[in-house]
Amino acid sequence: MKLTDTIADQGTGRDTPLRSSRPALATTYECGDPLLLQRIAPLVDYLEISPDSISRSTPEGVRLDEEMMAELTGLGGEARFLVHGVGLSIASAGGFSQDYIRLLDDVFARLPVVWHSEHLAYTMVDDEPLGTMLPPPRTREALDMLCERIAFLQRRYPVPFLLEHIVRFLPEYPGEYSEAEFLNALTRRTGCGLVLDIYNLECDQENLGFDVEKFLGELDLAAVTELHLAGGVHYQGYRVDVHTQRSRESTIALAASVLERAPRVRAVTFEFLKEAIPRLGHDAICGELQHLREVLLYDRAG
Amino acid sequence: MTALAEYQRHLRDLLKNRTISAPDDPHLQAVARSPELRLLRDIAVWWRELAVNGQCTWTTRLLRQYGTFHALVESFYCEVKVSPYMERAGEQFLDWLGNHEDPLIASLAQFERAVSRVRQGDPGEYCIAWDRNPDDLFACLKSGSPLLPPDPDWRYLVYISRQIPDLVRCDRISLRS
Repeated sequence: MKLTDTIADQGTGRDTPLRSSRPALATTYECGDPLLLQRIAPLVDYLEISPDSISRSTPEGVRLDEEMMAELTGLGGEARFLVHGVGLSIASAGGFSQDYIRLLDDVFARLPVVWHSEHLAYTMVDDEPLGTMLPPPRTREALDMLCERIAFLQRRYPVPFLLEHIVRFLPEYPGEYSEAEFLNALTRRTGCGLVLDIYNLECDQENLGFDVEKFLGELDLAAVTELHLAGGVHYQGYRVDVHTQRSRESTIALAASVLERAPRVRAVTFEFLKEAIPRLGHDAICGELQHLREVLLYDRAG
Repeated sequence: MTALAEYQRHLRDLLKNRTISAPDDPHLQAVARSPELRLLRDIAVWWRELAVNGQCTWTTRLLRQYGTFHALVESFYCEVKVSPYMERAGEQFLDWLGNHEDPLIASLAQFERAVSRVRQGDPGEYCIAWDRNPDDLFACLKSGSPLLPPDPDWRYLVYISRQIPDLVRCDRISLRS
């Protein structure tokens, strides 16, 4: 088991020292596939889990799935987890999900979590699930609301909190900040970190003509703690953020370029959907992890 | 209500195809016209199809035979507060179809839902009326062969309960006086 590395005491954000060794490698595990777990565990430093994926709806409310939790706790004391949420809906004007907070409380009580993160998005409106994620408009009102909620999460949980920008499809709301300005304001005001999803950037670039280099030039890259890599597909002529493939070489090259410029990246995570495993196959997932470690995660300080 | 809350409600209604009149706001008008709105809805519906397909096997097969699966899941997504949890979404879909105007769709959805409830420990007894022999229906759905027509002479009453061996019993009642 390689889920131990030298990063047990790491933090995120500007207070942490500049990276002096290679970032850790992580990958998604959504439980229910012990053979896959057996193969990926020796290849990674952390497992990325989503409370939404390891829980179920019961008549008493949403609860962690005990069989899935047994798989994770069964990994033993050396395993460390990155918690990456979908269902918090941090940007819902009507309030974020209390169900998700209860799940998070339970996860923190039962698993060693290095940090946790959530998408900068809302997935519900007035408690109605949207079935998709939408980004908040980049306005002062949204910024103030998000900062209060990030502060709440930072008080409640003893590990760093990170936000991830999402893929955008709908026409942009005429907000008061650029994408990078908004993220910079969030990290500056709260001290939270960022997940930079390299594949999401490529989706925006391809779908919207988003200027990735300009964005990276404006973004405070010292706030970036984690990179996400994935591969996806085209659907109705758009590149969509459905994580069903290995990373393309262009994605890996962009990640390498970001790693050269982002001094506090602590982990690179390869993400894939559980539903994609039969098509991807265990060999391809393991091959991807080995490839990423080889080409991205060498010691840049050395 | 804040501007943010109002904006998010508008977007929800656009996404769920509930906006009857065009919004006044130029940005919302642009969203309403954009092909990407349809794309987002299609992706959301695709995920709901995955949930329904996995949780409501027989009803899905019937709707696919009818060629109405996609359209019904889209209506379900737009009309119902669909849970992000697959098991719950499947239950909601069956509840929603339990009142469908097509009696076969309604019977099958009620049947799958009742079996699910009883398997989860529900102590109640459920009785569902069918206009044709359910055994023949399941055989057709399993093999993909054309559905047999309603049986004009008989009504089939299917009982589902934990008290029944194998959970299910079917009684046939003549409709001839």
